[in-house]
Parts: sequence; structure tokens; C-alpha cells
Amino acid sequence: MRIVRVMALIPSIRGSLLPRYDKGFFLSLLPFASIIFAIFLALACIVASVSQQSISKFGVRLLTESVWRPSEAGEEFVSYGLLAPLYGTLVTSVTAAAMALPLSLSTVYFMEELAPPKLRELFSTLIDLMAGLPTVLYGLWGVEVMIPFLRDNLMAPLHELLPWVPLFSCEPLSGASLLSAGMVLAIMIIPFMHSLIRDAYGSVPMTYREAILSLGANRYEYFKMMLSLIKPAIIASLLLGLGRASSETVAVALVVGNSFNVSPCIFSPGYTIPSLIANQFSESNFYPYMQSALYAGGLVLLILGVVFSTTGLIMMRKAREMYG
Amino acid sequence: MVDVREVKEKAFIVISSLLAILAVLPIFHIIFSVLYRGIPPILAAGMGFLTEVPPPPGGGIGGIGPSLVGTFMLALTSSLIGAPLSFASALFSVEFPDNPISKGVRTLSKALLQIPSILVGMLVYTLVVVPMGRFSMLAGSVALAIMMIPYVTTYVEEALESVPKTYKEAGYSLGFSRTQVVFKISVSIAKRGILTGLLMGFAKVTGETAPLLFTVGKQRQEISLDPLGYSDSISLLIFDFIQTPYANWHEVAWGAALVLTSIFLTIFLMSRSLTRRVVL
Repeated sequence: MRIVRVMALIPSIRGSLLPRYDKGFFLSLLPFASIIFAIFLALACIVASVSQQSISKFGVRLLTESVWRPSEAGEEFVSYGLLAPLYGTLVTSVTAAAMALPLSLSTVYFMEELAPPKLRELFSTLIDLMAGLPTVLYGLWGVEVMIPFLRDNLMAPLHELLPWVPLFSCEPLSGASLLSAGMVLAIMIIPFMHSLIRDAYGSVPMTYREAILSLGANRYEYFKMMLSLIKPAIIASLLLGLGRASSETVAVALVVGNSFNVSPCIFSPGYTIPSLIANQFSESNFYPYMQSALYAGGLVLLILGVVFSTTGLIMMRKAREMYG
Repeated sequence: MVDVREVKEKAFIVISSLLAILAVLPIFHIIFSVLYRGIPPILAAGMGFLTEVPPPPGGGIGGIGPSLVGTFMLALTSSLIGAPLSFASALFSVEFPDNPISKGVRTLSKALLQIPSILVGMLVYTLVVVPMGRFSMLAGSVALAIMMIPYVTTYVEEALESVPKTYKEAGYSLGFSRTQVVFKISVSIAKRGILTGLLMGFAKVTGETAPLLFTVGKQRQEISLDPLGYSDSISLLIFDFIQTPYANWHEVAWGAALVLTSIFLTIFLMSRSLTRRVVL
């Protein structure tokens, strides 16, 4: 609060007027600033209260069963279990983060150490563009362009060559699958993970870099050591990337195949929690417990997000503290 | 005699350059695909693509008029709700940084960025659509405003924080009140940054789909400006049309994708050219 100190120096000019102005200013901004608290409060209340109905009816079966049986006939026929979408959410986001990590690390190295300034500028523009591009365009491209290509050139050959590997054991039918969703998500989270890693990379003090080079490290060894210096930031980017990937909706809904399926094969179509909500929520009013079950899915998503982002942010803080 | 270290280094350089190029390849291919598949339907429909209503399944191209107007109306109304709120909360947290409420605002707006957009859609459905008894443009703009607030708040905070303290101190030494310092000095110095933040927020909401799924309804039969009536957005139209089996609706979706990309690129380039000129 340097300003306050400055103001304390000049009471003779404006006298006691300043605090009063200050207070009015403070009070007039307060209601606007509080809106963000209200949004959170509303979200927490509504998610908790609506999902409560299905949680008390189905209990843990909501998470351990993979059935989705809406029924208008009577409550005894109704059964909802979120296992398949939960599984799909985890598989697709882990696939995405695992694929995006080496790509993000390479772009960081390429931009920081290899590329001439012009090319670096171009890369940084492209990555910003990727970060902001409407997500529905990733989904459109994924379903119409990427999936047919992947099916014919990656999935079908892998299935023919290695049918005994559980990951590749099923025949890719339409191509919409957990793998496709993972790949689209990987593309979408690259800019995000890239910027987290790049900030940490740039924060490593010059003396450390000089020390590494003075030991005679070549470029590969140099980068390896640099990575070990920013390990917390890399873990943080993975966790925050997972959080991003698990909450993405429309792009995934277009490429994941939308079917209840818990299979080790990554070529099989699946569901994620957000895509389930996107597909089913509009009709959920007509069936007992359905909306509540979907809200329970939303609750699971929120908990996942909180876990990923708090651990991620803790790692990030650790990374920041390392070099002041 | 082959040096293992040297081979490793060479391989590393090659692999990392290739992976870096692979990482940005999709964006080129996406833009190329949007052009390649979006231009033919737009050429076939002419200017009518921007004003006509979508075709029936199996017949012609028509246009995306209602969705285009809906996109602009939604972005405009959500900015009207979101921009003042974000501006005020950013101002609050920059001006009173030690206040517990400002710390809360900062933490929560970071957290709100991470909240799945589909949950925002559900929330607005339960809070606005159900009590009103119908889908509406208003519900959509509330949902988009919630998406926009954390985003714009962060940008505006950064812009206001970049104003050098000496300028503000000069203001105080002239006897300005806090309100005068903020509006005459901070805001006018940081106006480019603030404008960029608003533009980025605008760009974000023009592309959003998930918060609109259960909030705006799908008005595609006529252009509607009624805030309490149904509305639509281009992204929603793409999402719906590409999931149908009709070939002509797929073409409309690609044409719509080209329109959406052009809008996004325009705003993106505008905000880029703004930030680059910031010297402070």
C-alpha cells in the first residue's frame, strides 16, 4: 500500500477529505466485486441441492455402475451409474496430457533455444491463436477431418498388426473413440501447458544456465538439466492440463462417440461426463432422477477439477518459490 | 568412432524441432480445412449465406442469418452485463489489494476460469430458464457473462497493475481524490490493455458453445432481436448440424465455421495490434 503512504504525506493538501472519498469509492465498488462470490455460492448451492436426490437414492452405485436407464414408467425401473463417463473422462484427459507434454516441452525448447526471433514470434502468435480458437471448431475438424484420417492410417493398421494388445483389441468402427477425443484434447491443451512451462523455463536464473554450460554440457544435456530444474512446474502443467481436458465439452462430445462403454480398448467409443451432460441434459426434465444424476456428474467433475487445480497450483507456487 | 553424446544431441535437436512443428501443425490444418470446405457452400449461397435462414434437410444451402445475428446479440448483451462487473471487480482488487475481499476476488476469478463451461450452462438453466419458464437470449447472455467475467477481470487487473506508481503519486500530489486518480490517470494510461481485455472477452463469448446448449433455445427460423425470445449462435448451429446425417447441413456447418473463424480472427488481430503498441 505505497499509495496510502503517499496519501499520508499529503493530508495538509486535501485534509480529511481523502478517507471519505476513499470510503465512498470502496463502497461503490464492493457490490460489483461481490458478484463473483455470489456466482460461486449459487453454483455450490445448486449443484449440492439438485444432486442430493440421486446421491441419496443411488449412493455409491452412481460411481461404480455403468447403467443409464431412464424410465418414465416408475421409479423402481430407473437406474443411473456414471462409471462409464467417469472412466472416459479420466482416460481421455490422461491420454491428452500424456500426448501434450512432449509436444509442449518441444515447443518451449524450440522457441527458447532454437528458433530465430522471427520464427519465435510466429510460433507465439500461432500458440495464442490455438488457445483462443472456438472449441467447436476443434470438434468439427476432429470429427470430419482428423477421425477419418486416424481411422484409416493409425487405428486400422494398429488393430491388424497388434490385435492381442488390449489397447488395440477392438475394431475401429466409425473412428469416434476415446483415442480421438484424447488427441483433440491434446491439441487443445498444448497452448495452456506450453505457457505454464515456458514461464517456469524463463524464470531459471542465468547463473544456473551458465553453470550447466560451463560444465561442458551439450544441448541435450543442457535441456535435460533445465527440465530437472523446473520439475514442479512440469508436474503442475500436467495437473492443470488434466483439469482443462476433463472439463472440455463440445469438442469431445463430437469426437468421443457417445456410448456407455468401459473397455480397455482405446479405439472403442466412450463417454465423458461433460459430453454426457451436453447430450442428455435437455431431456432430463422428463425422467425422474435424471437431472439429479447429471448434476451428480457435475459434482464429480467439480471435485476432479478442484483436486487437479489445487494440487497443480500448489506445485506452481513451489516452482515460483524456487527462483524467487 | 561415433560419439554417443554427439548422436544423442543431434537426435534430440531433430526430434524436438519436429515435435514443435507437429504441435502447431493442427492449427494450420484446421484453418486450411475451414477454408477448403467452407468456401464452396458460401460461394454457392452468395451473400444470402449471411442473411437467409438455414435450409430444410436435404435441400440447398440457405444461410445462417438468425445464428449470425444471435451470435452478435449474445456477445453484445453478455458484454453489457459482464464488462462493467469485471471492470469494477478488477478495479476493486487492484485498488484495495490488502482487503480480504480482493484476495477472494483474485482467487475465485482464477478458480472460475477452471470451472467447466457446461456447469455454467446447467447453473443458468436452473437459475434463469426454469423460473422464466422458457429459453431466452437473456439466459444465454447471463451464462456467457459468467464465462467472461473471470477472463476480463484478469486482463483488466493486469492492465491496471502495469500503470507506474509514479503517475498515480503525481496525481495525488496534485490533490486528486482516489476516484479522480483512478479514472483520469490509471484508466486512461491502461486503456489499451483494458480494451484488449474486453476484446478478448468478446472473442471468447462469440466462440462459446457449452454454456448456450440449455439456455438460448434454437431460433433458426427467423432473425430475432427480442432479449426474452429464443436466440441462437453460430457455434451452436455448427454443433447441431454436424451431428445430423444430412449432407447439406454439413455444408452449412462448414460455411458457418468459416464465418465464425473470420469473426474470431478479426477480433484476435485487432487485440494483437492493440497490445503491441503498448509501450509502458
